Amino acid sequence: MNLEDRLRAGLNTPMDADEDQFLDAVRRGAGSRRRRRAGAALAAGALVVAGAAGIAVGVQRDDAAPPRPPATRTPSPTLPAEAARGVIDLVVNSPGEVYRLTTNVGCVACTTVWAQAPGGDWIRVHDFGSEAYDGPPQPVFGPVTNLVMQGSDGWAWGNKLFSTHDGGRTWSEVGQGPGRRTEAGHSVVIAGRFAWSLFRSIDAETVLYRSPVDADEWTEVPLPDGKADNLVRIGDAVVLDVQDEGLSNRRLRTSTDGVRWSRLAAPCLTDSLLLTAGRSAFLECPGKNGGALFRSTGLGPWQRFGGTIPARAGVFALGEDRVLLNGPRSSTLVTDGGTVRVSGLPGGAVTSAGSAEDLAYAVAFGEDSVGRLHRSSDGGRTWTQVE
Amino acid sequence: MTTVVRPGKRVGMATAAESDAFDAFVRARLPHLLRFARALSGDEHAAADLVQDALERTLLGWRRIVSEDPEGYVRRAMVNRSVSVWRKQRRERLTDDPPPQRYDDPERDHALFAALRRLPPRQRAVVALRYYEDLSEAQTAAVLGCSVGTVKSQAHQAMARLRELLGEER
Repeated sequence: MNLEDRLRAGLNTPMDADEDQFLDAVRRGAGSRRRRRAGAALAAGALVVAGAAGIAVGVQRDDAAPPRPPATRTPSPTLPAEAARGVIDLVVNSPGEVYRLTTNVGCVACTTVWAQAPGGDWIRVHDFGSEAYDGPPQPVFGPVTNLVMQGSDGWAWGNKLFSTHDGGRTWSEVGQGPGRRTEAGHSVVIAGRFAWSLFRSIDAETVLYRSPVDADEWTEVPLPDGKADNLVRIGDAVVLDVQDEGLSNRRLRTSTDGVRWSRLAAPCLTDSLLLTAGRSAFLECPGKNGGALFRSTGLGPWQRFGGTIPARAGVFALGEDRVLLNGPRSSTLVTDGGTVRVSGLPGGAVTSAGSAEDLAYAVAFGEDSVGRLHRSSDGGRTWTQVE
Repeated sequence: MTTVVRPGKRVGMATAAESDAFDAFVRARLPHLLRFARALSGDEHAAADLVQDALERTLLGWRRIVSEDPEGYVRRAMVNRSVSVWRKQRRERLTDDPPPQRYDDPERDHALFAALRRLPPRQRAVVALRYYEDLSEAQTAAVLGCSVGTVKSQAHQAMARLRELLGEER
Protein backbone atom coordinates (compact mmCIF):
# COMPACT_ATOMS: atom_id res chain seq x y z
CA MET A 1 0.00 0.00 0.00
CA ASN A 2 1.53 3.33 -0.98
CA LEU A 3 1.58 6.26 1.40
CA GLU A 4 -1.35 8.03 -0.23
CA ASP A 5 -3.58 4.95 0.12
CA ARG A 6 -2.32 4.36 3.65
CA LEU A 7 -3.25 7.92 4.57
CA ARG A 8 -6.72 7.61 3.10
CA ALA A 9 -7.33 4.31 4.90
CA GLY A 10 -5.83 5.43 8.19
CA LEU A 11 -7.59 8.78 8.30
CA ASN A 12 -10.92 7.06 7.62
CA THR A 13 -10.64 4.68 10.57
CA PRO A 14 -13.93 5.01 12.47
CA MET A 15 -14.00 7.27 15.48
CA ASP A 16 -17.22 7.19 17.41
CA ALA A 17 -18.54 9.33 20.20
CA ASP A 18 -21.65 9.57 22.32
CA GLU A 19 -23.61 12.23 20.46
CA ASP A 20 -25.85 13.14 23.38
CA GLN A 21 -22.95 13.76 25.74
CA PHE A 22 -21.07 15.64 23.06
CA LEU A 23 -24.04 17.89 22.35
CA ASP A 24 -24.48 18.58 26.03
CA ALA A 25 -20.81 19.57 26.37
CA VAL A 26 -21.09 21.82 23.30
CA ARG A 27 -24.12 23.63 24.73
CA ARG A 28 -22.43 24.22 28.06
CA GLY A 29 -19.30 25.50 26.35
CA ALA A 30 -21.29 27.82 24.08
CA GLY A 31 -23.16 29.18 27.08
CA SER A 32 -19.89 29.94 28.81
CA ARG A 33 -18.58 31.71 25.71
CA ARG A 34 -21.71 33.79 25.43
CA ARG A 35 -21.44 34.95 29.02
CA ARG A 36 -17.80 35.90 28.51
CA ARG A 37 -18.66 37.85 25.37
CA ALA A 38 -21.42 39.74 27.13
CA GLY A 39 -18.95 40.71 29.83
CA ALA A 40 -16.41 41.77 27.27
CA ALA A 41 -19.00 43.88 25.47
CA LEU A 42 -19.85 45.80 28.59
CA ALA A 43 -16.21 46.38 29.41
CA ALA A 44 -15.08 47.25 25.96
CA GLY A 45 -16.21 50.87 26.03
CA ALA A 46 -14.98 52.69 23.01
CA LEU A 47 -14.50 50.54 19.99
CA VAL A 48 -11.92 50.85 17.30
CA VAL A 49 -13.28 52.49 14.17
CA ALA A 50 -12.09 51.58 10.75
CA GLY A 51 -10.40 54.11 8.50
CA ALA A 52 -11.11 54.70 4.88
CA ALA A 53 -13.53 51.84 4.53
CA GLY A 54 -15.53 53.16 7.43
CA ILE A 55 -16.16 49.76 8.87
CA ALA A 56 -16.84 49.67 12.57
CA VAL A 57 -14.89 47.07 14.44
CA GLY A 58 -16.52 46.07 17.65
CA VAL A 59 -18.28 43.51 19.70
CA GLN A 60 -21.44 42.51 17.93
CA ARG A 61 -24.07 41.59 20.43
CA ASP A 62 -26.66 40.46 17.91
CA ASP A 63 -25.97 37.07 16.41
CA ALA A 64 -28.07 38.00 13.40
CA ALA A 65 -25.95 41.04 12.55
CA PRO A 66 -23.88 40.73 9.37
CA PRO A 67 -20.28 39.71 9.92
CA ARG A 68 -17.82 42.59 9.98
CA PRO A 69 -14.21 41.58 10.15
CA PRO A 70 -11.73 44.11 11.44
CA ALA A 71 -10.42 46.44 8.79
CA THR A 72 -7.97 48.70 10.57
CA ARG A 73 -6.70 48.51 14.06
CA THR A 74 -3.90 49.79 16.19
CA PRO A 75 -2.06 47.29 18.40
CA SER A 76 -4.43 46.09 21.06
CA PRO A 77 -3.39 46.68 24.65
CA THR A 78 -5.55 43.73 25.70
CA LEU A 79 -3.17 41.23 24.14
CA PRO A 80 -0.26 40.34 26.39
CA ALA A 81 3.13 40.40 24.73
CA GLU A 82 3.86 36.83 25.69
CA ALA A 83 0.81 35.71 23.77
CA ALA A 84 2.65 36.23 20.50
CA ARG A 85 4.71 33.20 19.65
CA GLY A 86 5.52 30.94 16.77
CA VAL A 87 6.68 32.45 13.49
CA ILE A 88 4.49 31.64 10.51
CA ASP A 89 5.93 33.90 7.83
CA LEU A 90 9.07 35.89 7.15
CA VAL A 91 10.04 38.80 4.94
CA VAL A 92 13.76 39.42 4.44
CA ASN A 93 14.19 42.27 1.95
CA SER A 94 17.54 43.54 3.15
CA PRO A 95 19.57 43.34 6.36
CA GLY A 96 17.75 46.47 7.49
CA GLU A 97 14.27 45.43 6.40
CA VAL A 98 13.13 42.22 8.06
CA TYR A 99 9.61 41.39 9.15
CA ARG A 100 8.08 38.38 10.79
CA LEU A 101 4.51 37.29 11.29
CA THR A 102 3.72 35.36 14.46
CA THR A 103 0.68 33.64 15.82
CA ASN A 104 -0.93 35.25 18.81
CA VAL A 105 -2.53 32.92 21.29
CA GLY A 106 -4.03 35.83 23.19
CA CYS A 107 -7.13 35.65 21.04
CA VAL A 108 -8.75 33.64 18.29
CA ALA A 109 -7.33 33.64 14.78
CA CYS A 110 -4.85 36.37 15.69
CA THR A 111 -1.48 37.13 14.19
CA THR A 112 1.06 39.85 14.92
CA VAL A 113 3.36 41.74 12.55
CA TRP A 114 6.85 42.57 13.81
CA ALA A 115 9.58 44.70 12.26
CA GLN A 116 13.21 44.28 13.18
CA ALA A 117 14.90 47.34 14.61
CA PRO A 118 18.50 48.18 13.61
CA GLY A 119 19.80 46.67 16.83
CA GLY A 120 18.05 43.38 16.17
CA ASP A 121 15.14 43.79 18.56
CA TRP A 122 11.65 43.13 17.27
CA ILE A 123 9.12 45.95 17.28
CA ARG A 124 5.50 44.90 17.48
CA VAL A 125 3.80 46.96 14.80
CA HIS A 126 0.33 45.47 14.41
CA ASP A 127 -2.10 42.84 15.65
CA PHE A 128 -4.57 41.23 13.31
CA GLY A 129 -7.80 39.91 14.72
CA SER A 130 -9.08 39.70 18.25
CA GLU A 131 -11.77 37.52 19.71
CA ALA A 132 -13.00 40.44 21.80
CA TYR A 133 -13.85 42.34 18.65
CA ASP A 134 -15.11 39.53 16.50
CA GLY A 135 -18.57 39.19 17.93
CA PRO A 136 -20.33 36.19 16.42
CA PRO A 137 -18.19 33.62 14.67
CA GLN A 138 -16.94 34.70 11.31
CA PRO A 139 -17.40 32.09 8.64
CA VAL A 140 -14.98 33.81 6.32
CA PHE A 141 -12.46 35.34 8.66
CA GLY A 142 -9.38 33.30 9.27
CA PRO A 143 -5.95 34.15 10.51
CA VAL A 144 -3.54 36.20 8.46
CA THR A 145 -0.84 33.79 7.42
CA ASN A 146 1.13 35.53 4.68
CA LEU A 147 3.01 38.79 4.46
CA VAL A 148 4.84 40.76 1.78
CA MET A 149 6.45 44.14 2.44
CA GLN A 150 8.42 46.66 0.43
CA GLY A 151 9.39 49.84 2.20
CA SER A 152 6.28 51.34 3.73
CA ASP A 153 3.94 49.31 1.52
CA GLY A 154 2.79 45.80 2.19
CA TRP A 155 0.03 43.25 2.01
CA ALA A 156 -1.02 40.55 4.43
CA TRP A 157 -3.59 37.88 3.80
CA GLY A 158 -5.32 34.74 4.89
CA ASN A 159 -8.86 34.47 3.67
CA LYS A 160 -8.94 38.26 3.45
CA LEU A 161 -6.45 40.69 2.04
CA PHE A 162 -5.15 43.70 3.98
CA SER A 163 -2.83 46.49 2.90
CA THR A 164 -0.56 48.96 4.64
CA HIS A 165 1.16 52.04 3.33
CA ASP A 166 2.79 53.22 6.53
CA GLY A 167 5.21 50.43 7.28
CA GLY A 168 2.68 48.12 8.86
CA ARG A 169 1.30 50.35 11.58
CA THR A 170 -2.20 50.55 10.13
CA TRP A 171 -3.89 48.13 7.79
CA SER A 172 -7.03 48.36 5.70
CA GLU A 173 -9.00 45.51 4.30
CA VAL A 174 -8.78 45.42 0.54
CA GLY A 175 -12.08 44.56 -1.07
CA GLN A 176 -11.06 41.21 -2.33
CA GLY A 177 -9.79 41.53 -5.73
CA PRO A 178 -11.09 44.38 -5.32
CA GLY A 179 -14.72 44.63 -4.35
CA ARG A 180 -15.18 40.87 -4.17
CA ARG A 181 -16.26 39.50 -0.86
CA THR A 182 -16.39 35.74 -1.27
CA GLU A 183 -14.08 33.50 0.63
CA ALA A 184 -10.95 33.00 -1.34
CA GLY A 185 -7.27 32.48 -1.36
CA HIS A 186 -4.71 34.96 -2.55
CA SER A 187 -1.22 35.16 -3.83
CA VAL A 188 0.33 38.60 -3.67
CA VAL A 189 3.74 39.52 -5.04
CA ILE A 190 5.48 42.86 -5.47
CA ALA A 191 7.29 43.12 -8.78
CA GLY A 192 8.81 46.43 -9.80
CA ARG A 193 6.38 49.29 -9.27
CA PHE A 194 3.35 47.03 -9.03
CA ALA A 195 1.70 44.67 -6.62
CA TRP A 196 -0.07 41.72 -8.22
CA SER A 197 -2.81 39.66 -6.63
CA LEU A 198 -4.07 36.34 -7.88
CA PHE A 199 -7.52 36.02 -6.37
CA ARG A 200 -9.14 32.62 -6.05
CA SER A 201 -12.76 32.06 -5.12
CA ILE A 202 -14.01 29.04 -3.23
CA ASP A 203 -15.16 27.48 -6.50
CA ALA A 204 -11.67 27.91 -7.93
CA GLU A 205 -12.37 30.92 -10.14
CA THR A 206 -9.15 32.88 -10.54
CA VAL A 207 -8.75 36.56 -11.36
CA LEU A 208 -5.51 38.51 -11.62
CA TYR A 209 -5.28 42.11 -10.40
CA ARG A 210 -2.55 44.71 -10.40
CA SER A 211 -2.07 47.92 -8.45
CA PRO A 212 0.66 50.52 -8.08
CA VAL A 213 2.66 49.57 -5.01
CA ASP A 214 2.00 52.83 -3.18
CA ALA A 215 -1.77 52.72 -3.58
CA ASP A 216 -4.66 50.31 -3.65
CA GLU A 217 -5.85 51.06 -7.16
CA TRP A 218 -6.47 47.57 -8.41
CA THR A 219 -7.35 46.83 -12.00
CA GLU A 220 -8.13 43.45 -13.46
CA VAL A 221 -5.52 41.94 -15.73
CA PRO A 222 -6.69 39.50 -18.42
CA LEU A 223 -5.31 36.05 -17.71
CA PRO A 224 -3.53 34.09 -20.39
CA ASP A 225 -5.20 30.86 -21.52
CA GLY A 226 -5.58 28.12 -18.92
CA LYS A 227 -6.28 28.05 -15.21
CA ALA A 228 -3.79 30.05 -13.18
CA ASP A 229 -2.68 28.09 -10.14
CA ASN A 230 0.09 30.17 -8.71
CA LEU A 231 1.77 33.55 -8.96
CA VAL A 232 5.44 34.22 -8.26
CA ARG A 233 7.91 37.00 -9.01
CA ILE A 234 11.18 36.91 -10.87
CA GLY A 235 12.81 40.34 -10.75
CA ASP A 236 10.30 42.85 -12.11
CA ALA A 237 8.29 40.17 -13.90
CA VAL A 238 5.51 37.97 -12.63
CA VAL A 239 5.21 34.33 -13.52
CA LEU A 240 1.89 32.53 -13.65
CA ASP A 241 1.77 28.79 -13.20
CA VAL A 242 -1.01 27.82 -15.59
CA GLN A 243 -2.62 24.43 -15.76
CA ASP A 244 -5.27 22.86 -17.97
CA GLU A 245 -8.22 21.64 -15.95
CA GLY A 246 -7.96 17.93 -15.27
CA LEU A 247 -4.55 17.57 -16.86
CA SER A 248 -1.04 17.76 -15.50
CA ASN A 249 -0.23 20.11 -18.30
CA ARG A 250 1.46 23.04 -16.65
CA ARG A 251 2.88 26.03 -18.41
CA LEU A 252 4.71 29.06 -17.14
CA ARG A 253 3.64 32.44 -18.48
CA THR A 254 5.54 35.60 -17.63
CA SER A 255 4.83 39.30 -18.03
CA THR A 256 5.98 42.67 -16.78
CA ASP A 257 3.01 44.75 -17.92
CA GLY A 258 0.07 42.32 -17.73
CA VAL A 259 -0.57 42.80 -21.43
CA ARG A 260 2.06 40.74 -23.15
CA TRP A 261 2.63 37.23 -21.81
CA SER A 262 5.58 35.10 -22.82
CA ARG A 263 6.13 31.41 -22.32
CA LEU A 264 8.90 30.45 -19.97
CA ALA A 265 10.02 27.05 -21.18
CA ALA A 266 11.04 24.65 -18.42
CA PRO A 267 12.97 21.37 -18.28
CA CYS A 268 10.19 19.71 -16.32
CA LEU A 269 6.89 20.77 -14.85
CA THR A 270 4.81 17.78 -13.77
CA ASP A 271 5.14 17.40 -9.99
CA SER A 272 7.98 19.90 -10.01
CA LEU A 273 8.47 22.61 -7.43
CA LEU A 274 9.04 26.20 -8.58
CA LEU A 275 10.87 28.54 -6.21
CA THR A 276 12.06 32.08 -6.75
CA ALA A 277 14.42 34.55 -5.12
CA GLY A 278 15.19 37.95 -6.59
CA ARG A 279 15.97 37.50 -10.29
CA SER A 280 16.43 33.74 -9.99
CA ALA A 281 13.96 30.92 -10.38
CA PHE A 282 14.70 27.38 -9.28
CA LEU A 283 12.90 24.30 -10.46
CA GLU A 284 13.14 21.02 -8.61
CA CYS A 285 12.43 18.14 -10.95
CA PRO A 286 11.69 15.02 -8.87
CA GLY A 287 13.21 11.67 -9.70
CA LYS A 288 13.02 8.15 -8.36
CA ASN A 289 16.16 8.46 -6.25
CA GLY A 290 16.27 12.19 -5.80
CA GLY A 291 15.69 15.23 -7.89
CA ALA A 292 17.50 17.59 -10.18
CA LEU A 293 17.67 21.32 -9.61
CA PHE A 294 17.65 23.88 -12.41
CA ARG A 295 18.06 27.64 -12.30
CA SER A 296 16.92 30.42 -14.60
CA THR A 297 18.29 33.91 -14.03
CA GLY A 298 16.46 36.93 -15.35
CA LEU A 299 14.04 34.69 -17.26
CA GLY A 300 16.95 33.26 -19.21
CA PRO A 301 17.43 29.60 -20.15
CA TRP A 302 17.40 26.97 -17.41
CA GLN A 303 20.69 25.48 -16.37
CA ARG A 304 21.46 22.60 -14.08
CA PHE A 305 22.26 23.92 -10.62
CA GLY A 306 24.18 21.69 -8.27
CA GLY A 307 24.14 17.94 -8.16
CA THR A 308 21.36 15.49 -7.42
CA ILE A 309 18.88 16.68 -4.85
CA PRO A 310 18.31 14.03 -2.19
CA ALA A 311 14.80 12.71 -1.88
CA ARG A 312 12.85 13.84 1.17
CA ALA A 313 14.58 17.18 1.40
CA GLY A 314 12.70 20.42 1.83
CA VAL A 315 13.91 22.85 -0.83
CA PHE A 316 14.10 26.62 -0.24
CA ALA A 317 15.41 29.37 -2.47
CA LEU A 318 17.54 31.24 0.04
CA GLY A 319 18.86 33.77 -2.46
CA GLU A 320 19.57 34.28 -6.13
CA ASP A 321 22.63 32.07 -5.92
CA ARG A 322 21.80 29.58 -3.21
CA VAL A 323 19.29 26.90 -2.36
CA LEU A 324 18.83 25.37 1.07
CA LEU A 325 18.12 21.64 1.21
CA ASN A 326 16.63 20.70 4.58
CA GLY A 327 16.86 16.93 4.71
CA PRO A 328 15.49 14.74 7.47
CA ARG A 329 18.88 14.33 9.12
CA SER A 330 21.10 17.00 7.66
CA SER A 331 20.92 20.15 5.61
CA THR A 332 23.07 21.38 2.74
CA LEU A 333 23.48 24.60 0.84
CA VAL A 334 23.76 24.46 -2.94
CA THR A 335 25.62 27.43 -4.39
CA ASP A 336 27.42 28.32 -7.59
CA GLY A 337 30.57 27.25 -5.84
CA GLY A 338 29.33 23.81 -4.90
CA THR A 339 27.51 22.12 -2.06
CA VAL A 340 28.38 22.74 1.56
CA ARG A 341 27.15 21.16 4.75
CA VAL A 342 24.84 23.29 6.88
CA SER A 343 24.87 23.23 10.66
CA GLY A 344 22.37 24.34 13.25
CA LEU A 345 19.08 23.59 11.47
CA PRO A 346 16.76 20.81 12.68
CA GLY A 347 16.19 18.09 10.12
CA GLY A 348 13.07 18.17 8.00
CA ALA A 349 11.54 20.97 10.01
CA VAL A 350 12.07 24.14 7.97
CA THR A 351 8.93 25.69 6.51
CA SER A 352 10.23 29.00 5.17
CA ALA A 353 13.52 30.79 4.69
CA GLY A 354 14.86 34.00 3.24
CA SER A 355 18.09 35.94 3.07
CA ALA A 356 19.62 39.27 2.14
CA GLU A 357 23.35 39.49 1.65
CA ASP A 358 24.85 37.31 4.39
CA LEU A 359 21.88 37.57 6.73
CA ALA A 360 19.44 34.68 6.55
CA TYR A 361 16.45 33.61 8.55
CA ALA A 362 14.58 30.31 8.57
CA VAL A 363 11.52 29.08 10.39
CA ALA A 364 11.62 25.51 11.68
CA PHE A 365 8.82 23.73 13.46
CA GLY A 366 9.78 21.63 16.43
CA GLU A 367 7.81 18.81 17.91
CA ASP A 368 5.93 21.34 20.00
CA SER A 369 4.39 22.65 16.76
CA VAL A 370 5.76 26.14 17.30
CA GLY A 371 7.63 27.89 14.49
CA ARG A 372 11.11 28.75 15.79
CA LEU A 373 13.21 31.42 14.17
CA HIS A 374 16.77 30.54 13.18
CA ARG A 375 19.35 33.07 12.06
CA SER A 376 22.50 32.84 9.99
CA SER A 377 25.03 35.58 9.43
CA ASP A 378 27.16 33.71 6.91
CA GLY A 379 24.69 33.26 4.09
CA GLY A 380 23.06 30.12 5.45
CA ARG A 381 25.98 27.88 6.33
CA THR A 382 25.70 28.00 10.10
CA TRP A 383 22.47 28.69 11.95
CA THR A 384 21.48 29.54 15.49
CA GLN A 385 18.01 29.28 16.94
CA VAL A 386 17.24 32.80 18.12
CA GLU A 387 13.79 32.21 19.61
CA MET B 1 -34.96 11.41 17.11
CA THR B 2 -36.52 14.34 18.92
CA THR B 3 -34.29 16.47 21.07
CA VAL B 4 -35.77 17.88 24.23
CA VAL B 5 -34.68 21.48 24.63
CA ARG B 6 -34.36 22.41 28.26
CA PRO B 7 -34.60 25.95 29.61
CA GLY B 8 -31.23 27.62 29.77
CA LYS B 9 -29.72 25.29 27.22
CA ARG B 10 -30.74 27.08 24.05
CA VAL B 11 -27.70 29.20 23.59
CA GLY B 12 -28.02 31.76 20.81
CA MET B 13 -31.12 30.23 19.31
CA ALA B 14 -34.59 31.59 18.88
CA THR B 15 -36.60 28.52 18.16
CA ALA B 16 -36.75 24.88 19.04
CA ALA B 17 -36.67 24.16 15.33
CA GLU B 18 -33.26 25.81 15.03
CA SER B 19 -32.05 23.88 18.04
CA ASP B 20 -33.32 20.66 16.51
CA ALA B 21 -31.55 21.52 13.26
CA PHE B 22 -28.27 22.02 15.11
CA ASP B 23 -28.73 18.71 16.93
CA ALA B 24 -29.50 16.95 13.68
CA PHE B 25 -26.44 18.45 12.04
CA VAL B 26 -24.16 17.36 14.88
CA ARG B 27 -25.62 13.86 15.02
CA ALA B 28 -25.26 13.42 11.28
CA ARG B 29 -21.77 14.81 10.91
CA LEU B 30 -20.05 14.18 14.24
CA PRO B 31 -18.17 11.02 13.19
CA HIS B 32 -16.91 12.75 10.05
CA LEU B 33 -15.92 15.90 11.93
CA LEU B 34 -14.06 13.87 14.54
CA ARG B 35 -12.09 12.00 11.89
CA PHE B 36 -11.23 15.26 10.15
CA ALA B 37 -10.11 16.80 13.45
CA ARG B 38 -8.04 13.70 14.16
CA ALA B 39 -6.33 14.16 10.80
CA LEU B 40 -5.67 17.81 11.66
CA SER B 41 -4.27 17.10 15.09
CA GLY B 42 -2.96 13.55 14.77
CA ASP B 43 -4.50 12.85 18.15
CA GLU B 44 -7.95 11.59 19.07
CA HIS B 45 -8.27 13.40 22.36
CA ALA B 46 -7.15 16.66 20.82
CA ALA B 47 -9.60 16.00 17.98
CA ALA B 48 -12.51 15.89 20.39
CA ASP B 49 -11.44 19.23 21.87
CA LEU B 50 -11.06 20.71 18.41
CA VAL B 51 -14.52 19.61 17.30
CA GLN B 52 -16.13 20.78 20.50
CA ASP B 53 -14.48 24.18 20.20
CA ALA B 54 -15.67 24.57 16.60
CA LEU B 55 -19.19 23.42 17.39
CA GLU B 56 -19.47 25.85 20.30
CA ARG B 57 -18.65 28.71 17.91
CA THR B 58 -21.02 27.29 15.35
CA LEU B 59 -23.84 27.09 17.85
CA LEU B 60 -23.40 30.76 18.78
CA GLY B 61 -23.93 31.81 15.18
CA TRP B 62 -26.15 28.97 14.08
CA ARG B 63 -29.06 31.12 12.91
CA ARG B 64 -26.85 32.71 10.29
CA ILE B 65 -24.53 29.80 9.59
CA VAL B 66 -27.29 27.28 8.96
CA SER B 67 -28.37 29.17 5.86
CA GLU B 68 -24.84 29.12 4.46
CA ASP B 69 -22.59 26.08 4.75
CA PRO B 70 -22.50 24.75 8.32
CA GLU B 71 -20.06 21.97 7.63
CA GLY B 72 -17.78 24.25 5.65
CA TYR B 73 -17.88 26.70 8.52
CA VAL B 74 -17.00 24.05 11.10
CA ARG B 75 -14.23 22.72 8.89
CA ARG B 76 -12.69 26.16 8.44
CA ALA B 77 -12.99 26.89 12.14
CA MET B 78 -11.12 23.69 12.94
CA VAL B 79 -8.42 24.37 10.38
CA ASN B 80 -7.90 27.93 11.57
CA ARG B 81 -7.83 26.81 15.16
CA SER B 82 -5.42 23.96 14.60
CA VAL B 83 -3.03 26.07 12.55
CA SER B 84 -2.86 29.21 14.61
CA VAL B 85 -4.16 29.30 18.11
CA TRP B 86 -4.62 25.81 19.37
CA ARG B 87 -3.04 26.32 22.75
CA LYS B 88 -5.31 29.01 24.06
CA GLN B 89 -8.46 26.96 23.79
CA ARG B 90 -6.83 24.20 25.79
CA ARG B 91 -6.45 26.66 28.64
CA GLU B 92 -10.08 27.65 28.33
CA ARG B 93 -11.45 24.13 28.15
CA LEU B 94 -14.06 23.33 30.74
CA THR B 95 -12.46 20.49 32.61
CA ASP B 96 -15.21 19.47 34.98
CA ASP B 97 -17.03 17.41 32.40
CA PRO B 98 -14.93 16.68 29.33
CA PRO B 99 -16.56 15.14 26.28
CA PRO B 100 -16.76 11.38 26.21
CA GLN B 101 -13.75 9.62 24.78
CA ARG B 102 -14.02 6.08 23.51
CA TYR B 103 -11.28 6.05 20.96
CA ASP B 104 -9.29 2.96 21.71
CA ASP B 105 -9.59 1.22 18.35
CA PRO B 106 -6.84 -1.41 18.20
CA GLU B 107 -6.99 -1.44 14.40
CA ARG B 108 -5.86 2.16 14.16
CA ASP B 109 -2.63 2.86 12.31
CA HIS B 110 -0.74 4.14 15.33
CA ALA B 111 2.50 4.64 13.44
CA LEU B 112 0.74 6.81 10.88
CA PHE B 113 -0.79 9.07 13.51
CA ALA B 114 2.46 9.28 15.44
CA ALA B 115 4.12 10.46 12.24
CA LEU B 116 1.32 12.95 11.57
CA ARG B 117 1.82 14.47 15.00
CA ARG B 118 5.40 15.27 14.10
CA LEU B 119 4.40 17.44 11.15
CA PRO B 120 3.97 21.20 11.51
CA PRO B 121 0.29 22.16 11.85
CA ARG B 122 0.02 23.68 8.38
CA GLN B 123 1.41 20.55 6.77
CA ARG B 124 -1.03 18.42 8.77
CA ALA B 125 -3.85 20.65 7.58
CA VAL B 126 -2.80 20.16 3.97
CA VAL B 127 -2.64 16.39 4.45
CA ALA B 128 -6.06 16.34 6.15
CA LEU B 129 -7.71 18.37 3.43
CA ARG B 130 -6.04 16.52 0.56
CA TYR B 131 -6.23 12.93 1.84
CA TYR B 132 -9.19 12.89 4.18
CA GLU B 133 -11.47 15.50 2.65
CA ASP B 134 -10.18 14.69 -0.86
CA LEU B 135 -10.09 18.37 -1.77
CA SER B 136 -8.19 19.50 -4.83
CA GLU B 137 -5.08 21.62 -4.45
CA ALA B 138 -7.08 24.70 -5.40
CA GLN B 139 -9.83 23.91 -2.89
CA THR B 140 -7.24 23.23 -0.20
CA ALA B 141 -5.62 26.57 -0.97
CA ALA B 142 -9.00 28.30 -0.68
CA VAL B 143 -9.72 26.75 2.72
CA LEU B 144 -6.27 27.60 4.04
CA GLY B 145 -6.20 31.06 2.47
CA CYS B 146 -2.92 30.47 0.70
CA SER B 147 -1.67 29.93 -2.82
CA VAL B 148 -1.81 26.66 -4.69
CA GLY B 149 1.96 26.85 -4.82
CA THR B 150 2.08 26.91 -1.04
CA VAL B 151 -0.21 23.88 -0.92
CA LYS B 152 2.05 22.05 -3.36
CA SER B 153 5.11 22.97 -1.35
CA GLN B 154 3.58 22.03 1.99
CA ALA B 155 2.23 18.75 0.62
CA HIS B 156 5.58 17.96 -0.93
CA GLN B 157 7.37 18.52 2.37
CA ALA B 158 4.70 16.70 4.40
CA MET B 159 4.78 13.59 2.24
CA ALA B 160 8.55 13.54 2.22
CA ARG B 161 8.60 13.81 6.00
CA LEU B 162 5.94 11.11 6.42
CA ARG B 163 7.87 8.77 4.13
CA GLU B 164 10.93 9.36 6.19
CA LEU B 165 9.14 8.78 9.48
CA LEU B 166 7.35 5.70 8.21
CA GLY B 167 10.36 4.28 6.44
CA GLU B 168 8.80 4.35 3.00
CA GLU B 169 10.53 5.05 -0.28
CA ARG B 170 9.44 7.82 -2.63
